[in-house]
Amino acid sequence: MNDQILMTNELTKKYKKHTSVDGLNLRIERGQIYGFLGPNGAGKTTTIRMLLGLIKPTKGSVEIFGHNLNKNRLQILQRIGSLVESPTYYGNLTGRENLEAVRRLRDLPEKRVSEVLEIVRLTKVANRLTKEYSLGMKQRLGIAVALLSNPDLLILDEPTNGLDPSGIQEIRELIKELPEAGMSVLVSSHLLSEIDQMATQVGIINNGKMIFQDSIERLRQKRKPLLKVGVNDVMKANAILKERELKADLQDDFLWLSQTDPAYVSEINSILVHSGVSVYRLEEVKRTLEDIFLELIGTEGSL
Amino acid sequence: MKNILWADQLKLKRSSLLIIVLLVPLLILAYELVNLTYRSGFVEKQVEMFGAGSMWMYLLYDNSLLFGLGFPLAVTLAASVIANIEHQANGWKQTLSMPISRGKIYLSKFIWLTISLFLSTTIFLIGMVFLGKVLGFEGDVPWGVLIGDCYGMLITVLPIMAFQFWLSMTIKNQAFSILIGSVSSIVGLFLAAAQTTRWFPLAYPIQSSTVILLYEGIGYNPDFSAFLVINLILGIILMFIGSKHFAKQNVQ
Repeated sequence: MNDQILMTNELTKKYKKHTSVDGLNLRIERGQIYGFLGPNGAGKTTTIRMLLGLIKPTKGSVEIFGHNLNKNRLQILQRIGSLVESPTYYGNLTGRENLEAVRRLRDLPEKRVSEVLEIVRLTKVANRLTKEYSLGMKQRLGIAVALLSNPDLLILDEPTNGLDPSGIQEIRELIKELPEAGMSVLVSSHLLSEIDQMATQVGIINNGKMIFQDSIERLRQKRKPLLKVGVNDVMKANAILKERELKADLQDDFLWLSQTDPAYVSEINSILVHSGVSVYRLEEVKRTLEDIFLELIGTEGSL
Repeated sequence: MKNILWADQLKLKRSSLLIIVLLVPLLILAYELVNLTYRSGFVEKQVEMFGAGSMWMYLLYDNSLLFGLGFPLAVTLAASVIANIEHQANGWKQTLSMPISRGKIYLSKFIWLTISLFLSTTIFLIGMVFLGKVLGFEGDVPWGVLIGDCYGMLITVLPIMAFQFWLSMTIKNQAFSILIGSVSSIVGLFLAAAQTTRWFPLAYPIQSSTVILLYEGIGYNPDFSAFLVINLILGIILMFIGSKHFAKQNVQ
């Protein structure tokens, strides 16, 4: 059996002239924590709403657990737990009653309510009205609702929004433990550091388009430091290195090489100097994931 | 379906639904109490003039206008309260991403609207009987016309219920549906006054009393059964169309 539990084909959503999601091909495998990353307004929430059948895609299809979402919506939703954007809470009910309402709706065992309250650490305030809850508590309640049915696929849209650092830490640890129980998780965020600390797979979306989709290791490899070489004649130096089958990139009048260990650097220096090129700079340039993220999405992403 | 109904029952806890559905019958009953005690002289004259068979008949005739005007307002507000629970909770995206058909979710809330209005008319019925007994109306309690008047209204108001419910469910801003509901309730009053326009759905609640003023005085309403049949059918059709539309909507 294919281990792919979620896949979208050319998923597109247009609002009048504005294209919110553009030809997205999402791939999630069983047991993955898929970090869905993108700046605000990139189309993350729209995509998630389409995955849950809340809005109809303009074009393309969604396949979850090997079934088409359009045809088998209810069977698929049976195995999904979700939290979409700002949390849902019935202010006239207590935390426990909020969960009880969902429990009744989904016909789940009664003890699950106490279990999930324990998981998100809301047991102490379970009998208070949710309109008195802080944003963080409401967010946890939303996560509790998502976990209530013990789903195979958990879809969390910005789950750490409004949480304090210790709350973020807790939720992160919680999410990381989920695949052990066979759960797969799709978690969206606009913060790379967030995704970096929990995801195994990353999809980066910008302006409705997927611009990167691979494992987190691949993304981290991009972060490896580069060697920046300054010489008087870049063209000549590049040609010399090419002769020796050393791959260098030319950018901003500098040569960029992908290795930085001392022996390698000395060798490069020696080769160039002996070929009559004057070397005036050998620099190791470290890049953060943020740099890579910004590089991928371009500058407009900072909006 | 039972699960959905129980879940919706819980969501209505501590809401103002009960106050709203009790307000209209209690206000009308309070008015009648004042009318029949402080204005008893005037009432007696009117009873004679209209040739009412009994005080029961007079009571039914007298409150039919208020009830016909007030009950659609209760419908409007009750529908708004029920729908607004989800709107206010930001709850549609959660509720509709549950593995439950949207039609059933719509139906469940509609059933609660019907139950709450059933409660409202029942209170009205009990209140009228109580009022009659306390004020010592002569003759047996005419259960048939009293029950017909109360629960007949519930059926007559079905098209308005289906429409107002759909409005409140699909449009987040409840001021809009409440405005439409209040205006149409008043428009119904005018529509009912003319022979041709009195067959418009909005005009039905005003005329749905079992007892009306005829040429020869207060008597049984000859059109009552026609109103029941028309409204039952129209109500079910509107409810069905509303639920279909709701099921297809995009959820923001």
